Amino acid sequence: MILRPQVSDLKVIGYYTGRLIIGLSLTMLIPLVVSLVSKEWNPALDFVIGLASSLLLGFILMLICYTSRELTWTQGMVVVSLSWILVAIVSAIPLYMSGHWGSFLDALFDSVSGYATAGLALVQDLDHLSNGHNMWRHLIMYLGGQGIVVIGLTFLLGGGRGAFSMYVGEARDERILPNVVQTARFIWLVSLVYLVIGTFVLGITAYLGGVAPPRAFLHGMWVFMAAWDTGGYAPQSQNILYYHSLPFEVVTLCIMILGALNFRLHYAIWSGNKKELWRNIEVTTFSFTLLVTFIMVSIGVLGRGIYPESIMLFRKGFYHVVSAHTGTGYQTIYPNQFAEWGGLALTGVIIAMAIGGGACSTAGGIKVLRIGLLFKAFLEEIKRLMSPESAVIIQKFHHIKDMLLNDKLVRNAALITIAYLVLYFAGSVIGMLLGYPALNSLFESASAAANVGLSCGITSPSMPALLKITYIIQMWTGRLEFISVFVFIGFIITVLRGK
Amino acid sequence: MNLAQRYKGMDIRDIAIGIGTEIVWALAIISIGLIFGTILVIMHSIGWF
Repeated sequence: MILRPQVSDLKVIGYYTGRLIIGLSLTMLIPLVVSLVSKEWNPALDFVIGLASSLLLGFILMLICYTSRELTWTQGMVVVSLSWILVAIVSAIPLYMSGHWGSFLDALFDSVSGYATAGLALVQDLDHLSNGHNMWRHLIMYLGGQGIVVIGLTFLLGGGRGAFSMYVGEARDERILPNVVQTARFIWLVSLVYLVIGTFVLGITAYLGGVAPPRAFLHGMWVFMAAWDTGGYAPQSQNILYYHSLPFEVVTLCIMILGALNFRLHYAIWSGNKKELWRNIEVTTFSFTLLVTFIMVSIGVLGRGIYPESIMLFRKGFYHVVSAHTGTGYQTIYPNQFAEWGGLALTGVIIAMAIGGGACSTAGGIKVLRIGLLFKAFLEEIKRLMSPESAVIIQKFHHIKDMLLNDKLVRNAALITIAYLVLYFAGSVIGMLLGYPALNSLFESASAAANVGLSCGITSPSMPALLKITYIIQMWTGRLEFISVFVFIGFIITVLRGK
Repeated sequence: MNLAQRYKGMDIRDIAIGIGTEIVWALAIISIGLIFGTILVIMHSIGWF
């Protein structure tokens, strides 16, 4: 029986949520500085107001709910879900005040999309957005990719008893190092090292492509942030198509693929275990599914006479399959051009989006680890059926070390996979009810729920508010991988029902 | 506490080699995509599908 939460439980949740809000609010200082350096006074004022509002909310929560108690497992899960909502709301304040979003719902949509690393956007006149607001959009994505709890664990909260539950609640069920705080810090180490390298390489590539030096550096940093965190925001409305540069596309492909790698795999490789790249179940599954979906897309587009040259097929077909599979959402075509691709190619992209990248990475979707485990379990079952009744079938897989495939692992993988499929389907049904074609609805729904950000044209400021809210819920639920969201909903019901 | 103490003996050299390995691997995946795409274009041009 689940007991009704006491006032003391609510205070613990409020106190830690307040701490996380304050921590995330302080990151608004970065776009504030960018605005001041760029002499953008009105955007600077937006960030002062946004910072003041969020600090006020955080301090009020901490004062009212002050406690010295540590988080329990359930409380940690509730804090994660609640923080993600509240942090997205306060982060939307400076966006809305810029005047580039039609309503606060639109600004909240982009804020949630940024934190969830989806990349679907409702911003208007993006090409004239200030440097400060562009910095904030991409920073939101960078913070969300690592996870706001990971930020909290790294800089604010320490490694108390509830720390691990918050870490797990943010869809990171793999501990890289024995201590969860060290794990969080390692995730930041990898991301910051690659931020320096990626910004430099993309900045140089953009400069050689004709972008003026200060902008080339800023674009390099922003595009890196969104590519590494498999987000998909870009500073120009044409997305990556704006650069018209093959080298730029190859560099972003490279970053997207690396961003979709499991941080545990990064740790293994950085520790000298290079063979892991060829043996790991996630890598082999990713390579296989990438190839299969690329074949589907290629046959689909070539059959319709689109991209008949290999370099065009690479820059349009392969680029979008990688963008979809890693959950990034970068595009080198206009959204409406997906309509020319036909059913087979679009289905290939939808499957790639639905599968997603590595577990414990910045990517969304079902995750290649779960697909690999289910495939192994399927093979095991076939072997079992073909073997004598007395035979003992043992299935192993390699993920950092050799592991036995047991029923618990398969059950967990199957449950999360089913939950994702239901989420994709539910969003597409709502899209169809609102009058959009079935395949387009499924495409956009999978893109939102798997935190991809590719759009076939449905996502726009003029789409119905119900669909905006649906995609917000899908992005939030998909990013947190259900568990903490279910615990949060269960917690609310328990509070209301009294049991 | 320095990097080596914190991450079980991992130093700057290990990190540089690790990053190099990862980038080569990512470029290998991209190259395979380009080669595979070229094969598919050739197959399509001779009417295999």
